[in-house]
Parts: sequence; C-alpha cells; structure tokens
Amino acid sequence: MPISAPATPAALVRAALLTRRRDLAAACALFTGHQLGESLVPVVVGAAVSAVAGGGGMRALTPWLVLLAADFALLSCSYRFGARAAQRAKQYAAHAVRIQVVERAVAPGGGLDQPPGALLTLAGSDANRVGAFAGMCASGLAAAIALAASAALLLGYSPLLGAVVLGCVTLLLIAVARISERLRGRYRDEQQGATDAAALAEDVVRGLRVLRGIGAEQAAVADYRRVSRAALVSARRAAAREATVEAFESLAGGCYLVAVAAVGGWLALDGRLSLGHLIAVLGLARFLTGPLQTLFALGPARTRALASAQRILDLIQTPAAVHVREDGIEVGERVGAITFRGAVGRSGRALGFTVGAGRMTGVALDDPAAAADVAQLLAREYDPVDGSVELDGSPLPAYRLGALREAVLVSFHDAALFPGTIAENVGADPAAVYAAAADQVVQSVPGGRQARVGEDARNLSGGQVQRLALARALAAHPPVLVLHEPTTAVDAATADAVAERLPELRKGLTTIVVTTSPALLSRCDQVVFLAAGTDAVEGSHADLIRRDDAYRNLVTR
Amino acid sequence: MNAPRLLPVAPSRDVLRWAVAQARRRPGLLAATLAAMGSAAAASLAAPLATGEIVQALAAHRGGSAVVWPAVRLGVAVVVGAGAVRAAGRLLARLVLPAVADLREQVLEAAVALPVDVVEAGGAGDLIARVCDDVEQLTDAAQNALGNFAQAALTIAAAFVGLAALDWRFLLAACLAVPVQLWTLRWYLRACRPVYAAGRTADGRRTAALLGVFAAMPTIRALRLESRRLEVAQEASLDAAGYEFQATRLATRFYGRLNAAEFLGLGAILATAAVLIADGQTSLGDATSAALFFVGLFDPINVALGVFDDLQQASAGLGRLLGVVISTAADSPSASPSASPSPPRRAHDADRSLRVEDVCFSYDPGTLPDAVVGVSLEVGPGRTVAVVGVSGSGKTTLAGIIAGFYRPSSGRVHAPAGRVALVAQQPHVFAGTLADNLRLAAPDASDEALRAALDRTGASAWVDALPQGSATPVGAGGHPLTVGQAQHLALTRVLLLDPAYLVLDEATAEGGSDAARVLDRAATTVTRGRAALVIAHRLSQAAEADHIHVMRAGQVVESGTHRELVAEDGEYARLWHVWNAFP
Repeated sequence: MPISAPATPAALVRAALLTRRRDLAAACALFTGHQLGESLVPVVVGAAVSAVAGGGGMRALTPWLVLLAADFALLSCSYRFGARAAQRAKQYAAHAVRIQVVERAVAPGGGLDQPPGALLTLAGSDANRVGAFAGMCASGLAAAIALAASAALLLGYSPLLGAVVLGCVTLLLIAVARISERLRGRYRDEQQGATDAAALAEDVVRGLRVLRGIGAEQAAVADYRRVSRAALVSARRAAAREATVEAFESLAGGCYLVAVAAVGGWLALDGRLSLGHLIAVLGLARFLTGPLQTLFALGPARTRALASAQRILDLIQTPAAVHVREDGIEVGERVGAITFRGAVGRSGRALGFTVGAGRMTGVALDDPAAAADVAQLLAREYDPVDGSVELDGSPLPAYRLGALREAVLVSFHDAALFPGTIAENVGADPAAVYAAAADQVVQSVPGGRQARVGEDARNLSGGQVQRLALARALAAHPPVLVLHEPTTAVDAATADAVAERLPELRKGLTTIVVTTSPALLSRCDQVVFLAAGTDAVEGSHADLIRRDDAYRNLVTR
Repeated sequence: MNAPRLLPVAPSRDVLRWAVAQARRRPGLLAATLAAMGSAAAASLAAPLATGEIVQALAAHRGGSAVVWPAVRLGVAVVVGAGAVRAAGRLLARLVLPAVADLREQVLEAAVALPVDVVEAGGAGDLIARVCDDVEQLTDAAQNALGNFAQAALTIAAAFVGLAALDWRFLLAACLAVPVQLWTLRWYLRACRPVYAAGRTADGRRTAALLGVFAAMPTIRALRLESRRLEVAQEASLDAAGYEFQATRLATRFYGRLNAAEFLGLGAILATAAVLIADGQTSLGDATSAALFFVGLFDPINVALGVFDDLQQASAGLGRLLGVVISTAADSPSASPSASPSPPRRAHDADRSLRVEDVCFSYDPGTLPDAVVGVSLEVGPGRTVAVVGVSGSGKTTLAGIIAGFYRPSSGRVHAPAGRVALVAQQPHVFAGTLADNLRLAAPDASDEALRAALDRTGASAWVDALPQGSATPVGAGGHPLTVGQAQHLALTRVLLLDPAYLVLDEATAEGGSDAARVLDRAATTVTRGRAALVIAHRLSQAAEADHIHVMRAGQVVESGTHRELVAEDGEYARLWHVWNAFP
C-alpha cells in the first residue's frame, strides 16, 4: 500500500521500512538465529578442544561434532530464509518509495517541472538507497540482539569483562553514528551530481535527432562529459569521506578487541577466568566484531537513505500548480458553456470570450503562446493569475478536479502515446478512429490495431501519432472537448478529412478547436477571433474572412 | 510489429578485455590500492595471532608480562589497519570511479553516433537505464568486489600459512572443504548468469515505464490515465524486483552449500586435533589456534566467493554498457556516405549536387515493408527541392536517410561538398539557456554572432521579449517555447552552422498566421545559397520550390515543377486543390 505523506526524511524512511514489517520482523528473528548459530561455533569449538584435551580422541569428540552439525544447520537455514525476507523488505521498501515519486508525478494538481531524467534518478537510485537501508535494518537489529546476548554471556563469565564490552560498544556506536552524520551533505551532493548527469543524458537521447541533424553530437557529448566529471568529483568526495568513516570504524573495532583481549588475559592470569572460558571469551569478542561492523555500516546507510529521502521529500512536497479541492462541486447535468473572463495565463495576455454549449467553436489566436494558454487553462495545468475561466457559470477551480477533467477533456497538440499497442492507446471506437482519420494509420501499419507503438512512438510519423492521439481523445466522448491544433503534423488532405468528420462525431456536444487552420475553422459553428489589444470578435469563418482583415491575414494560406 | 529490439549486449570476452585494459591503464594506482588493501588485511590478522599468543602464554603459565606484548602488538596493528583502510577506500574510489565515469561518457558518445533507428528501437529508456542504473550498479559491484577480494584473499592466504605453520595436517584437513567450495562456485556462476542478465533487462523496462510517466505528465492528467500509468509503473517495478528475489534465492542456496563445506573442514580439523592430542603430537594451544583460524576463515571465504557474485553482477551491467560502445564500431553510420562528408573539393557545380540514388530503407527488414522504396533525386547548389505527400508516406524517413540518421538498405546518398544538416520535424529544445541551444551548432560563436543570426531569421523579436533574452533558460524545467519558436530556434541554429546541404522537415502544416509567415521567411533565409530539400506540409512552400517530388507509400510518384504538376491532375493537383479550398 502506498504510504500517506510523510513530513520528514526520517518519517519517509520509517514508513518505507514498515511497508513489509512482517518480512522485516522475520528477517530480524532469522538473522538473530543465524548470529546465535555463528556465535555458538567458537563456543562449541572451545568446548570440543577442551573435551579432547584429556586425550579422549574421537570418542570424546563425537558428541561435540554432532552438536556442531546441529549448530551449522541452524545458522545455515536461518540465514537462507532471513536473507530472503530481508531482500523482500529491501525491494518492497524501494518499490514503495519509487511509487510515491510516480504518484507525485501523476498527481492531478501537477506542478513538477523537473526534466524526466531527474525524476528518473529519484525514482531509481534514490528509492533504491532507501530500500538498501531497509534491507540492512534486519541484520542491524539482529546484530544488536547478538551483541546484547553476548554481553550478557560475558557478564556471566566475568562482570568486569561484560562491563568493558558493553561500555566500549555503546561508546563506539554513538561515535560512529555522530561521524557518519557528517556524510549526509556529501551523499546529497553525490546524488545531485548523478541526477544532473542523468537529466542531461535523457535530454541528449531525446533530442538525438536534432543533434544528429546539425552534427552537434560532439558538443552535446562534451557537455555531458563536463556534467559527468562534476558528478565524479562529488562521488569521489563522498567516497573519500566514507573511507575516513570506515577507517574510524576499523580503529574503534580494533580498540575494542584490544581492551577485551587485555582485560580477559589479565583476568585469566589472575586465575579469575578459566582457560576454557578465556578461549570462549576471546572467540566471542572476535565474533562480535562482525555484528559491530554491521551496526557501524548501518550509520552511513541510514545517512545515505536520509539524504535520498530528503530529495524525494522535496519532490513530493512540491506545491501543486493548481489548488485541488476534494470538496469541489460536481459538474451539472447541462455542461458546455465556457467563459474566459479576462483570464491571464503564462503569455501575459488577458483572454475574454464565451463559447456556447453544444456547439463546435473555433478559437483563433494570433499568438501561439496565448493559444497554448487557452488549452492549458482549460486543462487546469495552471490557473489564471488574473481573471477567471468558467464552466456553466462557475469558475473551474470550484469543481472537483476529477469531475472537471472528466467533463472537459483537453487534447494537446503534442500529446504523447504510451508504449503498447495502438488498441491499448486508442481504445475500440471505430467512429472516433474514423473521425481522426486514424483509420488510414491503422490500415497502413503492419499489425493494424495490434501494432506496437514504441516508446515516444518513434516508429510512427508525427502525423500518424497526432491522428492516433486525436482518436484517443475523441473516443472518450467528453461533454466538452478542447482540441489544441489537432492537425498540425498532417498533410492538407488528411487535415481536411478530419475537419469534415469532426462535426458529425461531436454533434450536440461542446467542442473547442484552438487553431488557425482554415479547414477546421470553416467547419465550426462559430469562430472566436482574439487579436492582441482588441476584444474578441465572433462570427462564422466566412463572415470573419469577409469583414476582419486581421483574421483573414491570420488564417489565409 | 514485434517487441522492441534492445541495444546489443557485449559478450563476456569483451567485458573481461575491458576490465584488464582498465587495470593496465593505471598500474601504479592499482599497485598502491592493492598494497593498502594488503596492509589492512595483514593488520586484521593480528587479532587471531594475538589471541593465540595470549592463550599460549596462559597455557604455558608464563607471567602477566607475556600478555602485554601481544596486546600492544594488537594495538599497533589496529592503528596501522585503520590508516590502511582509509587509504584503501580513497585509492579504490580513484581507481574505480573515474574509470566508470569514462565508460558512461563513452557510452553516450557511442550512442549518439549510432543510427537513430537503432537507438530509438530500444527506446530511450533502455539507453538511459544503461547510462544511469547500470553505471551505478557497476560502481557498487566493482568497489565491493575489489575491496573485498584483496582483503579476503590475503586473510585466507595468511590463515592457510598459519595453519601450515601449526601443523601441516591441520592444513590438509582444512583443504577437505575446497572441492565442495569450488563445485558450489561453479554451479552458482552458471545458475545466476541468466538471472542477472534478465534482471538488468527488467531494470531497463522499468526505466522505460517510468520515463513513460515522467515525460508525459500533462497528457496523463488530461486523459485521467493516472491510475493506469501508475499501475504500469508498478508492474514494471515489481517485475524488476522479482528478478532480485530470484537472485537472492540462488545466492542463499550458494551460501548454504558453502556452510556445508565449512562444517566439513572444521569437523576435519577437530578430528585431527583429537587424534594429534591423543598421540601427544600437538598442544592444546595449537589445536585451539588451528580451529579458531579456520573459524575466522568463514567470513573471508564467503566474501571471496561472494566477490564472484559481484563480478557476475558487474559484468551483466558492464556488458550492457560495452554493448553500446562496441556496437558503434560495427554499426556506425560513418559507414554511410552521407555522414562522412568527403572533403569539399573544387569541382564543377554539377558535381556539387546532393544526389540520392535509388535508396531503399526498412525500419525492421524482414518484418516491416520498406518505408522508402527506390527513391532517387538530385538537388543542385542554390536550389530548393520540395517533397510533399500525405502523412506516413515516407517523407520524414527519406529526410532521415539523407541526413545520415539511417543507413539505407540499398542505394546511396552522395553529398560531395560537405555536411548535410537537418532541421527535424519535432524540434527538441535542450535544457539550458537559449544561447546554449544555439551554440550547439557553433560552440565558439560570439554573442554578436548569435545576435546577428537571430536578427537574420527574425527570431530576435520574440527572443528579446523573453524574461532574460537569449540567456533565458529553456527546455525541460525552463521557459516553455511554442512549437513555432522551437522551429525558429532550429532554423537560426542552422544559419550558424552554415552547412552546404540542408534538409528541412517542416514542423507544422498550419500556414497563414504572422508567426508562420515569419517562419516561412526564416526558412527562405536559411535555404538561400544552399542545396535545400524541403519536406513541405505547407503547399505554399512547395509551390515556391524549384522542383517538387510527390511521395506515396515510400515511392516518388510524381515529379516536376509546381506548374507542371498542377497541370498533370494527379496526386499533387488533388492536394493543391484541397489546400486552396479555404477559405
């Protein structure tokens, strides 16, 4: 299940950890069993050697060998299933975080303007870093348990020795946690470098045709090289700091061993510790460096995860471009009248016009940026900075967004197809396919409706993609359909066919065509012409051609 | 159409060769890294030695001072070891990180040189996954493998020497584990290779699914495809995780078998100790040391054998990276005549024509029919030739062949006077400033040169109106440009490039608006003085060309001047009639 919005990086990591708490708990229990098995090995060995010290030979050894075999069975099986559970905890935690990034990307409120490659790093590498920490947590917990158990055991052998071990371990863990905190900035830089490189690589691959067209591959590669080198510097800095932290861990672990060996040896010399116990103690102390290292490694891993979690959180918390109201009004029975009241979008132009319900209206603008505003404002990709856009008398933000988008469908001129078959993209609606003149596309590609559209649909021509995207929008039969330059990439004859077929399919429904194509405009019931600095002019296409010079100038070929 | 053809993957032979070459490139650094790792490993051996010594001293009832020296030696070793760990970490980063950065740069460099259809067939996702995910995974695996292996190998070697020094029969007993370990390793490497390879491919699919979301967010919102696209991304993500689970299942079985080998060796050593002690041939201390030596070997041996696992993972990623680099050598379009312009030569004008001779091309030979069938045409210097036709008739593919994006399956493109530039139909705007976008064509162009080019194409009018003029960030995350503006930018860029030949794939069929007329004028400015082939959607553009070819289903079906073709009453006449039907 997706996680509800966390407030801090730590909360995000915690929530990711707990996505599979059963696996985490199982892994922890099993790893503890594994640690127990491992820690018993030197104990059994010590006992076995002591048992044969009297010269009892194989007979004295056999029971201990049986015990050893049982111990190995325990440690091996518990590791096997523990590791599998830990891997599940790791992968599902990464998956949960990845899906949070995707959920934010598809959130109805929009507002993300990161390049796709940058989002990819967040959903890939950063999510994996959070997952990796989750995977390590089980072994970390098990290590802590082993440490506690061993300390108890040591306390039993010798209170002094137990106290030394416990004291050392506590001090060390605090110190390592402190020092690895200093890695966080380095890890963030490292991930930022990787993000920049990924974003650029994605940009280059996407713009490959442009680069090849002007022979600028080398310039782009040089650019990538520069960013890649910068990422390398960050990565090396993080690695260098990491090496220092590791060295500190190694030093700390060593000091602990020295302390245990010295105190243990001294106690044995004093005769306060038997030889068998000393062997066991030293073996245990050495064994404990394993769990200790595991706990040490948890520090940097946590820091990595927190640095990545911070980056993901920044994304998730990016404010939406439009305010999304859960309690917005529903769209009424009769929908279709659209009014722009001095609405100012990103082009800076105030737009004012009215579109009647149930008709096909052409909207012609002399500024492509303002034309884009009309489509984007109706799609609520962003809201007007001034003025308002209304549907049936209520401003768009008053509606529940889902209901609004269901009622008002905007088809952008550069709408993307998704990887899959044509049928999966467009659906099965022969009337819509015909109206978009996409029937020719289906006929001309091998495989027809089952033909696969690749990523970016590069195996189709621009005109073919545009027609399929149009068919997809038409197939939804929304009460209000907004088409933004739907035939820019198709030839004149095909565009004419589309223009001729559209009114028939959309009869009785509201259709807004934002275009300067005379073929489309001439088929509209009404045309709204918006020129800079003047009020909207309305009329039929033929009418406007006759009486408005600016309009004639705009749409005449 | 069949499933996407992914980019090639290099065979393990090439992967090995690359790794060896990398090792040889920086012998000093490699030696220093190994030395540091060796020191760290040697220092870590001090612990069991000191333990043995302490036990020995106690068993021999020597005084308390006998414990001091082993403890001091252990302390020194700890300090030296920590220093060595730090040096090893830093040196390892210097060894691995630059090599991997080099590789990712090479991959991108190779990718942009591949035929466009090869890159696009696999989808951008496959390539991006390689440059990002595979690189990261390779870095981790390489650092792990190198770091662990040297240390583990040294620990193992030292422990074996130690065992032999105690009694050669202990060593012999320990060696009982070796055949089991080798057999396990062999089994494992064979079993996990396909799983890792499939896992990397699944990662590529996941990347493609994620990009499908991240690159189309407005479309997803408008069509309310949120839950469907989320579902697709979820499926791809879980599918990739599935391969990780498979790999873990294999790895845990691998370690289970290694545990069995450990038990075998340890049991043998204990039995040996029992026999030798009974015979009075070894001391209790020696027996303890031998057994503890071997127990101490469990981890290093598992680590050393686990390194093969890392290597296997690394080589799966590395194979995918090198696959791109190596395939370029074989598949480079430089083999095609158009992409390697012969040096300009002084020749008669007729020899400087762009000539397309009987060119055929299919996106997937054997599966797909030819998208371009036997097209021949010629564009003389200073002339403009238009290609028209309904959408999907092969015009853009033809443009791609002439510009060297695709290698024709037969026929050739002859461009004797220099570079063929192409202005693509879908003008991509790169993230960066507007000036950065222009300088792609002329990296050394001065601000004045940029300004002059913008003035000549008439783009300065709107560029100056941008928030920061030509320094305005555009592209992903920047100021949005309209398709017309992007096309205008592309035309200005070509002006800066100043190519001998120009293929212009028009971005829009819409004509008439002021913006479109400005674009028309810019196109005229840019084509002037060059041999230009214009893929015309606006027939008003075609009408002004010196010559027109009409394409249908990949073939040229009509050729002639505007006047001739209109008179001919064929396809062109029909298109012209529709075009002029409005208003």
